[in-house]
Amino acid sequence: MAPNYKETLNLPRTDFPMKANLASREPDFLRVWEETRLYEQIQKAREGAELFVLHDGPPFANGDVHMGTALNKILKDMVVKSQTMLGKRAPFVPGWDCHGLPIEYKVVKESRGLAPLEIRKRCEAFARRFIDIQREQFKRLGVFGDWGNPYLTMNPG
Amino acid sequence: MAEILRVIATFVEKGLVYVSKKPVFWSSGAQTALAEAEVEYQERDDQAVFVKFPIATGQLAGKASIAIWTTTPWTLPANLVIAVDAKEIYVVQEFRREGVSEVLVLADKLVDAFSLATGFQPTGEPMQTFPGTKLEGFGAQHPLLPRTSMILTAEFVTMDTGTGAVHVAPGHGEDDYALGSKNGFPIFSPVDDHGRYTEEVGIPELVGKYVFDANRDIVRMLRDREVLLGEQNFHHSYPYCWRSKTPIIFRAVDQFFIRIDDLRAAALDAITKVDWIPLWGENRIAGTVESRPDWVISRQRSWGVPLPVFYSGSGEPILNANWIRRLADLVAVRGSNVWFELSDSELARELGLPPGTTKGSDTIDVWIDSGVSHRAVCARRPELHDPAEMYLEATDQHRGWFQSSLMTSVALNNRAPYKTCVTHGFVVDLDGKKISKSSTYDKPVEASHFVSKHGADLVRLWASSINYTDDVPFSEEMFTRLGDTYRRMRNTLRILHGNLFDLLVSDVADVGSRSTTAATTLIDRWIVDRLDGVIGECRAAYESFEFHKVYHTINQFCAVDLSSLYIDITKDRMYCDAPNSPRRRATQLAMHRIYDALCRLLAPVLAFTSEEAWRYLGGNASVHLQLFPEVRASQRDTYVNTAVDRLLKLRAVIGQALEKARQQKLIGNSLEARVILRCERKLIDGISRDELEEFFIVGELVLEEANEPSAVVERTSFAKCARCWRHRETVGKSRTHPDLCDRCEDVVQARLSST
Ligand SMILES: [Zn+2]
Repeated sequence: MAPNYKETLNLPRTDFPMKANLASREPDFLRVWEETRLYEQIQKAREGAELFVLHDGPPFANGDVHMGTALNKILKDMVVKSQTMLGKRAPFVPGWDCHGLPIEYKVVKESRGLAPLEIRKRCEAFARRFIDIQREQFKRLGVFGDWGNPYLTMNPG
Repeated sequence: MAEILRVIATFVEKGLVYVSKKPVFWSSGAQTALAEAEVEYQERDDQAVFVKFPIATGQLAGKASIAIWTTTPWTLPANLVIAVDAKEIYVVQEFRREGVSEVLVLADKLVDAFSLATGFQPTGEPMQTFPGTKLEGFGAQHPLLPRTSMILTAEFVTMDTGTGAVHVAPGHGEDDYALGSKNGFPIFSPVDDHGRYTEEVGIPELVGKYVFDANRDIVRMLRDREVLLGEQNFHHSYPYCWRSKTPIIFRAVDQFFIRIDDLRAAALDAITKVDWIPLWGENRIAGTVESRPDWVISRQRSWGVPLPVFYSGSGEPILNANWIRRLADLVAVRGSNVWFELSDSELARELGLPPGTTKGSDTIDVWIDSGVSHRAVCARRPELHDPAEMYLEATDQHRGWFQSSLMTSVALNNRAPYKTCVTHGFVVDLDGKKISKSSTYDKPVEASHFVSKHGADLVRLWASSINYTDDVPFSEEMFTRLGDTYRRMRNTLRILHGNLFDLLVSDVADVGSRSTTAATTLIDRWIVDRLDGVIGECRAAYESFEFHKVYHTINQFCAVDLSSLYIDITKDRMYCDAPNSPRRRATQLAMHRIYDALCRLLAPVLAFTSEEAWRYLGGNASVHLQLFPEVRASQRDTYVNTAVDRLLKLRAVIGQALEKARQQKLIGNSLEARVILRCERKLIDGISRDELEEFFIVGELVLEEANEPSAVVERTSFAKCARCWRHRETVGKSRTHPDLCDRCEDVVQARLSST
């Protein structure tokens, strides 16, 4: 009987899966990044390095993230990640534009004749709701940043 | 918000803010003044009219009428002036139409066009001709109201359309306003917030009517009074409120402005000190800054930062920097709702203002909110600084955020708030149409749709693959091609990783300290040099923010250099050599370097997949904490590149011969081939036959000298090794393992003796 030479070969071995299953596997990475506070780790690792500030132009806190906004944020993230890997300290503070006609228009259209203070309260609630929605959608795209402490144009300070 | 108010205080201090009645873009749908960026243009049909104003004073009084043309009949009740060009020639000419005779004054150049449009034919020679300046100061009877309008000369009069005599309503247009206010006319604008005539209009039946609906009535009145010379349908592009989709009116209201003229020169200078990517951005923004009018910063809305304007007991507006700063301190603690919560007297008490002071009700243009983020965010957060290294937005932001930020930064710091300004195009579908969440666009546009279907890394791969300085094509179908590229990259990583299973960490650590080239064959030296090239290209591309170059470089490297050459050629040694044979280990080290480098180079693009692959390398820290790989060699290995280039050409020659032999059923696969390669010997100088056979993946290679390269394929007479399947001269020579080649016998023997 012929010997089984196959066993003597150094055939490749890996657990790295052929199939990516990105949509289901990516959230696991997001969880680990969040748990290990990866953004803060990166900032700490580059402490004292040359600073590269990409300042985020704030999108309106209105509606879901569409492909145009996604392109913008991903391009920014690729700049930030690559500058980081080139050795620089590249913090990213995401922002939202909270005031303005688009939101007020929707609120006023829903219920006309409100007093200014009531309009403002409803607008703020509206803006905060979409900031939360958009924040999750941006994070889901793998965009790194100080998501816990973004800048909002409606913040008092 | 407090910081936004403090910036306004500074502007007030510098004298940049003023109040004035001025025609602004007014949305009657949203009842607010609009910024230029909130205006969009739509095609629209309007009724244009030719109207006569009988000349009432001056030399032509009672003898002729001046003919005007307008596309907005609803502004005629607010007409106070008729403008003519000073130098152009005007005629006094009799016209006839169906027995009606009119003596009219209009520009000589536009007589024919007027005839064509109205049917009035000139009869005889002009009665008089003179330059427009001669008309200056004449009065003309208003066609609808008991008053006269004055004829003035102005530079904005053109000879393109109309009559060369332009209807001017200072409360309803930019040029109109400038001419009217220069000559002391009131900024008359008898229209309310909803776009309806007020009583001031002076024509009772129009009061309360929406101006765009009143166009018909006005045309009828003009006809009834026999002052309508003609009408025509006029198709033009007209400004609309981007939000309420109602046509804009120019309407004069009390508004607060930032004086741009005081900032313009410094802004233009600041623009030249910024890096614009792409380059044409510089002209785009310079053009915008050159032509932009004063900035209307007041909005008649509730949802915004309160415009910190106070009114004295007698109703005079007060802009006071110290008061505004006190308000800012209050807002910093209690939020801006305090402006709306407190009554006038409570607020006055809180801020220490004179009793009787009241607050305004406007809010600040949101373009100020975001336009001062360089101060409110970059300058104030400890981890950032101002100016920022980069702003990166879509191309419409030359008019928007880039410009608003520039203006406020010039006012505060006399420089731009950014060192580099990058723009990207719009996402368009394959027909070049901008994708948007509108009723006319029925395909999905939400990023979450594509993320949950294809994964974020594929969306990121798409973003990296395009040259974003142009408009960016996008469609669901593109994911097919992107998926192929992704799988190729992933599979390359997987194959590389599969070959590293028995590489010891100590081997990898060791590699830096000893000379790797000694045990390294040509193909290893070549791939390591290629990797250096790829690293250099990718680093340069990342440094210049050209991500599509990273995409193409890595894709090419995976598809050609790795998959179809290096991995294929080294398969035999990787699978069949003794595990620790020097050439196998050398290849493993090269593969390890490549794998490591690819993970890092791909990390900004494939943020998830690179992390996944990186974990299989065994480290704990994220790939995103790493640095990009460095180019190792101080210079490219020209010897090895020349040598491999030559071998690749010979490989192509052999490939053709092999293909022919396969078609003729002479051989099944290339390992059964005996290849007689004829070429100049110097092409393969210094490369062993073993290495050549491996490189060409053939059973047996015979070399003959020739000027022109050619190859002949025969079936080899050597027997096939049962282990490596190569046909080798040594198969059958051994007593113990007659079915093996010498290499495989050594490997098997070694395994036997070690167990
Ligand atoms: Zn063998």
